[in-house]
Amino acid sequence: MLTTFKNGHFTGIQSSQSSLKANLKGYIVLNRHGQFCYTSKTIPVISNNPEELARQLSALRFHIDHPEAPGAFYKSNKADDREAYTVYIGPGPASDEVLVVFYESGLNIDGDRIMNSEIFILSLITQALHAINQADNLSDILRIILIGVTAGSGLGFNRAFIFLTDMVDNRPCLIGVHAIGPSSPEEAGAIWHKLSIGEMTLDSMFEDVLRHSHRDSQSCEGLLGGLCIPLDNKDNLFAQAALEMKSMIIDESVLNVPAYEDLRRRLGTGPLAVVPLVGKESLQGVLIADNFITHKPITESDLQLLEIFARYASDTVEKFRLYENLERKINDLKRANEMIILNRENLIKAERLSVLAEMAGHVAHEVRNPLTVIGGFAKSMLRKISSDHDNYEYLNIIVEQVSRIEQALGKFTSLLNYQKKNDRVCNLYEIVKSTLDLKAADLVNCRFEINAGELIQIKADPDLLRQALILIINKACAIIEDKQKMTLTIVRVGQKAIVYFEPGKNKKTYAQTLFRNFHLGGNHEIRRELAIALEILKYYGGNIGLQTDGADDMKFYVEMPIFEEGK
Amino acid sequence: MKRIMIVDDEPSIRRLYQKEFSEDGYEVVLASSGQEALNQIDNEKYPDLVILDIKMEDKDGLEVLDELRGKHKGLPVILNSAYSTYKNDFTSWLADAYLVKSPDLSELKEKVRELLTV
Repeated sequence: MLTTFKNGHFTGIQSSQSSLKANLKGYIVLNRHGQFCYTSKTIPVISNNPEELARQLSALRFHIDHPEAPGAFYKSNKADDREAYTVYIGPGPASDEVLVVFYESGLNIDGDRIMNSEIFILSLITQALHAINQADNLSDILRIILIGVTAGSGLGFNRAFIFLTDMVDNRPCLIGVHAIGPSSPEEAGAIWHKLSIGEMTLDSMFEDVLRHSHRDSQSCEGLLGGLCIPLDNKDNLFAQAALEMKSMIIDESVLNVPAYEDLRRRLGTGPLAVVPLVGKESLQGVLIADNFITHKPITESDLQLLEIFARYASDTVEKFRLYENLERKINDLKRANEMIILNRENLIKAERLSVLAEMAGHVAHEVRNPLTVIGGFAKSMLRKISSDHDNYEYLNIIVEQVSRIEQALGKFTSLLNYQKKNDRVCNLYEIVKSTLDLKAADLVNCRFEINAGELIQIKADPDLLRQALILIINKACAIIEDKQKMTLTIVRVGQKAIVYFEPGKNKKTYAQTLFRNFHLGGNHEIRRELAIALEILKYYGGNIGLQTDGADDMKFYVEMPIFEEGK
Repeated sequence: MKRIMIVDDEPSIRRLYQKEFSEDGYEVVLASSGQEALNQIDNEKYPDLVILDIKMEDKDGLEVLDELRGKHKGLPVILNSAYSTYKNDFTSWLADAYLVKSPDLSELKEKVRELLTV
């Protein structure tokens, strides 16, 4: 729509609608103070003076304050004895002037817009889809949709909000995710000024989104923070619009009840156009738009255009959400796979440690025994011969070399010498949890549960500690009754972190059996494994123990010193 | 004369310890297995101290120690093993001392003296 002036006088509005000129009844140009600058020869009776005019045209005040705001058609308020008119209000011939054009009241402006809407909406959808195709994330797609809804060259609403479906505490909800629009008339004026001088176009605004330099678009984003509408609340109109997949204009009077207080407080009052976003497969959310700044009434034709636009946008939103969901699942799978590989490595390390310990034991036994005998007899002989004896030097050499081998053996057989230790401060809960994850596939006869309150930090090599816990958990599982629950409770007791092992029943017998296994276990292998676990725990100042709480309560526990900064 | 029982399945170790402790003035009784040691003790070859190996074929040193603690509570026992990891085995804590085998017998001899003096 283009307004034309000649010598400061209004000459017409260029439009495809020929009925505009035919139904013109007169015009007025007002200055920034709301005073008449020019009037046509005849003007409708309602416009005799500026005050009366402002009463009849509630949008006039806004246009006088913001003469650069794009023009729009309004209906004058019908007074008792006066006729209602269709009125166009928009920029006047000078930059601080406003033009008011009066038409016959019977002029069907909305009908005309609907007649031309197919071309208009097709153009908007083409532009928006072109931009959407270039977007690489859902957030940008939603912003492009919102721009299409609010830009003057788009659907022209003042503000728009997108709510997407999601689960909150296992309840299906509509969650406010994105908003666009000015938060005040001043901000609106600045944006419309840029629009009027051609600094901002629909394409340039889409470009801004794609370049991630959103300007003037986040002002009302904060209004949505945490806004959630439960979909199972059947009395809620927004939930109804979503579930019944029907568009509606919700009048402000309907919202004036306590149920919508949060929404009213955030978005302000005024009629809202609500359109469901329904993809090919499922409901995606709702699109809400209003004319918060201009207070321009939302018509059925506005709603229909919004609905057409939303229909195309919904498919894209659905596709992208499905894609994002798929991408998230792929990433989850990747992470799970990485965890499996890491866990397998840890399990191999624990098993390798056990094998190494066994090997070290054999080496110790097979080497240390003859070494003791050779060295022992050499020393014995050395004591009995004088230093000038021919063999004295040679026996001395044997004793020295045996001593060297013994020292080397001492290092070799100390199990922790094999381990490259990577000590660091870590969360004990995370270590216990990851150990159980590691063993998850093997723990078929019992269910583990972890109880942990405060964050407890320890300093150790997490892998090494996990290896100790694996060996203990192996034993803990081997003696538990089938299909029982085992609770691991992590607590702080003084400077110690304690992990209690408690089965669902027969706690005392279980604790005694597990503890006894550490020192009276059935065979060398079991005892050696538990000895390895204990060696690791003790290396870090930890231990195992048995706690008696009354006659019938007994708990097996693993303890580790708590790490505290500066101590 | 104090009687020391050496329990070890390695003949060379038994021979070394027998020689060393005999020369130090002790009466040395030898057992090549855990069961043999228990039998000898029950058959009145009651020692004043036992030097006990752990890894043995029939009955390991920790099991022997456990039985000895049940029957002969006051009998001093020194666990003498080529393994160091058994130090963490709780049963080994029942012994009066745990010494890893070494060609240098001075520590073992010192411990024997100490326990027999008490």
